[in-house]
Amino acid sequence: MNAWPVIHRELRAEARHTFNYWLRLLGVSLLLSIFVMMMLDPQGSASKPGAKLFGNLNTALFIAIWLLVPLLTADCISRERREGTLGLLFLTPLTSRGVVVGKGLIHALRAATLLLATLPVLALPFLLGGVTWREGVMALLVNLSSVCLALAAGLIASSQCTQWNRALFLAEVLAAIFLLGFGGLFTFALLLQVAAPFVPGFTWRGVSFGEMLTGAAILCTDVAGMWSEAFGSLPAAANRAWLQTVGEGALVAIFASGLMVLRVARRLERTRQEQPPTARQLRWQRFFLAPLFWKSLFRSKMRRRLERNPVGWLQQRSAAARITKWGWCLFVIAVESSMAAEDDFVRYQLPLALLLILGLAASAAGSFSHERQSGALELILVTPLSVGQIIFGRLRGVWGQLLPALGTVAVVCLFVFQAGSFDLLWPGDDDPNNNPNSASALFLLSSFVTIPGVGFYFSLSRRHFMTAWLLTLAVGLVLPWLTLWGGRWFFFLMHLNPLTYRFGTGTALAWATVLQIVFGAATGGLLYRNLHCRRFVLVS
Amino acid sequence: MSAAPPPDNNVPAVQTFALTRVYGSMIALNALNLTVNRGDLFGFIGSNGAGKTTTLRILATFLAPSAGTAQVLGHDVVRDADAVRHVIGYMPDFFGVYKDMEVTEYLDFFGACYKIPSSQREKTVNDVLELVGLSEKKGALIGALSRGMQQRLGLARVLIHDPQLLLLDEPASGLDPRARIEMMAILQELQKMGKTIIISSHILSELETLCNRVAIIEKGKLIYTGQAQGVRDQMATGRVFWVRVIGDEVRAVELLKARPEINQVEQTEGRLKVTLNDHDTDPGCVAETLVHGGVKLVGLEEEELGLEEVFMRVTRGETQ
Ligand SMILES: Nc1ncnc2c1ncn2[C@@H]1O[C@H](COP(=O)(O)OP(=O)(O)OP(=O)(O)O)[C@@H](O)[C@H]1O
Ligand SMILES: [Mg+2]
Repeated sequence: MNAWPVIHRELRAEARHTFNYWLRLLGVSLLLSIFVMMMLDPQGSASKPGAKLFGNLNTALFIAIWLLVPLLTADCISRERREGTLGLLFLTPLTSRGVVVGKGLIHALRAATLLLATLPVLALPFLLGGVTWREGVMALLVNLSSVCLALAAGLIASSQCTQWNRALFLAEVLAAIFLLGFGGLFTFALLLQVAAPFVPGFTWRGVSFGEMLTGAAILCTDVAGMWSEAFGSLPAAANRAWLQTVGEGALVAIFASGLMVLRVARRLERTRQEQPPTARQLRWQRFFLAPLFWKSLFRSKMRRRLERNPVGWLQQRSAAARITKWGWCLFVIAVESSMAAEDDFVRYQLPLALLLILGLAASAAGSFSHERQSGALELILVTPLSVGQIIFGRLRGVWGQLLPALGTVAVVCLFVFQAGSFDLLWPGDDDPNNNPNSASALFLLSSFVTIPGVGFYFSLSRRHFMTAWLLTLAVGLVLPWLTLWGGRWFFFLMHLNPLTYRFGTGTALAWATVLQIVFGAATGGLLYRNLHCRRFVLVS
Repeated sequence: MSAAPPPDNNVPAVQTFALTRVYGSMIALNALNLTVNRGDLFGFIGSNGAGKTTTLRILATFLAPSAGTAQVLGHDVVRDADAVRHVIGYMPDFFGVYKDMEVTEYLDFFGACYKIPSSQREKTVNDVLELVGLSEKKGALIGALSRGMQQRLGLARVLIHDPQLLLLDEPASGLDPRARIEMMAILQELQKMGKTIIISSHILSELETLCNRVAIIEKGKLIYTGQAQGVRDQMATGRVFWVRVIGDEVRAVELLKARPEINQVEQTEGRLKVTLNDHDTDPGCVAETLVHGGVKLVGLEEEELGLEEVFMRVTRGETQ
């Protein structure tokens, strides 16, 4: 197996991307901001601040690994296939195993540099005290297994798909499955080897599914420094067994992901040539995806859409677009109905809506990349379509894709509030006067309106989808809040303003909404100008 | 579906003034002054990276020039971009197709982009497909078309809104010989219909017979523009003659080499290859020298330089 040429090539290509530096910077600043926020939190300074801080930082890292590593890996093989270089690689004496392993190693290296960059921040809690080497080792092992599994998810997705957006989607779905599997097995092993023998009064009957989930989350992430608390309450033998289980878990995870990577290589060997869909596949596609009822109505609707705005039509014409649209909707319905029995049902609405907003940002940030790759963007831009038509066509397309899903969430919320449950959508302590629920709704609505514009702007001005997506989220969601907090602290430090009193969640949300609209409008203006002057990155 | 009428019928189809485009520190186009008259079938020649695509992209309003201006049928490509877009058809050097669309769907889409009323569109689509010979592929997925067919589809797309000026970036590069000849015939037909066509290509021999005017650019600079047939006369820096003598060839060489107007004399296969200093040198001096020197001259003919050879001489394969 010869993976060296692939590694060499990837290293050179990676060194040219400034994205990696930004990613590391982002990771470090994220962790630092958690650190600062915890230090500023008046309740945080209670007992064992070091352990709590360490736990929270590690949680952030854990989430970042599972979110980012699959996304970063997902396009590595599919891109070669799309650009036709995969076939060329296989014409050389390189084997598919060399290609896959080389790619995997490079992305592992990339993840490792991300981890390394965050190490100095992770060292801070040790200085604060209350964190032992045991937690350090456990965190390292858990994160290592996470990186391996997340990498495997990305590589599998990448070897299966040709289009990058499908690869990204599949990578995240696989990562979610792996995370659930890993977390479940790991928790089970811990219950078996630590809880059952060492915790007095533990019975298998008493463990409900909800507890299992919460337990798994704590065991994997050390959120709020729970590990250190558990260490304190368990006998030394239990602690040893725990550490041993974590070690075994890591070994299993690494071994499993290695096996999966090898399987990917084997599969790639067989499917390296892009096959056109067979007659049977086409027939099935037609059967499932073509509209069955009201065909002529559907057709005339599409025709009218084409007359009104060809760009909008472009986004809605394909079966894939319809699948995405109704897929999101089904997903929301599934989540809502499985959560309906929970007590704090309302609390799940906000994360769900935010997830949809993430999806909205992704589809906006990737919206021009397909055209840019196929060169159709160049053709569209030399037609007399106005800039407004291009932007609004796209907007309608992106909105239309998530509208059924978001509408479902909105209807559920309305229904719940009608039924008389006055729980808060947005977590926070509040007086009922500054209505946080309507403020949350307003914030979500303005996110829904502004984020696609921001996404389009970055989709045209950035070469890579990931950069565009992260920047969209940064400008569309994070920047308003950062400005808000920065402004508050500025006024506070300057003793300038009545804002020094703690203002409620509702007010904060309202301000964030205003800022978001301001930033969104500014980016929208830039987008218009850039499209008008045809100023954007050309090559993909 | 006629395009907006140009402001003045006497303005050239394309005129650029010191057109410059810079990518970072790289000057892709360097103060290009180019004029293309109406009704021309204009060949745009240059080696790889000479700046052909850049020029065409600017003319197609896709790229803004860094300096200088360009006018298409009297409209400025920056200020009047919208008017320009109505009257041009631009075919890039790649296909720009949606592989998951059907052929007619694709043309329909671009027809809608050009605001062709839907009542006319179906007929127009059929017409252009007929013209490029893709009629029997109407319902096919574009991804399943061959490279040459995709290229013909690109040509069909360019023609769909009946533009007055066609900007074609290497339109024949993927076509088989037969299709290439057919495409050339289509282009000539379009020229007869009064359209102006700018075509960039590496296939020089074809441009020579096809185009009435050509421009050669190198490193973003224009080095020749004029009649396609006149290229040789103007560009052949030194004309070349083949001379056949009876008797003492060595003496003939000595005699010829002594003349200041003659640059080079070579002996090959019983003939002498005589290269004059420059284009304006009177070729009569060759015969005169030999006859006066007492050498028997039995043959004297000028070597025909093709466009290709001219191109090679002029550009010397210099790329940036
Ligand atoms: N997007 C870009 N970014 C940076 N440089 C570019 C870009 N596009 C073109 N160039 C540079 O501009 C110069 C002219 O390129 P252009 O594409 O116009 O050449 P061309 O004459 O069309 O060549 P070819 O015959 O290969 O198509 C080249 O040196 C190229 O490297
Ligand atoms: Mg070119």
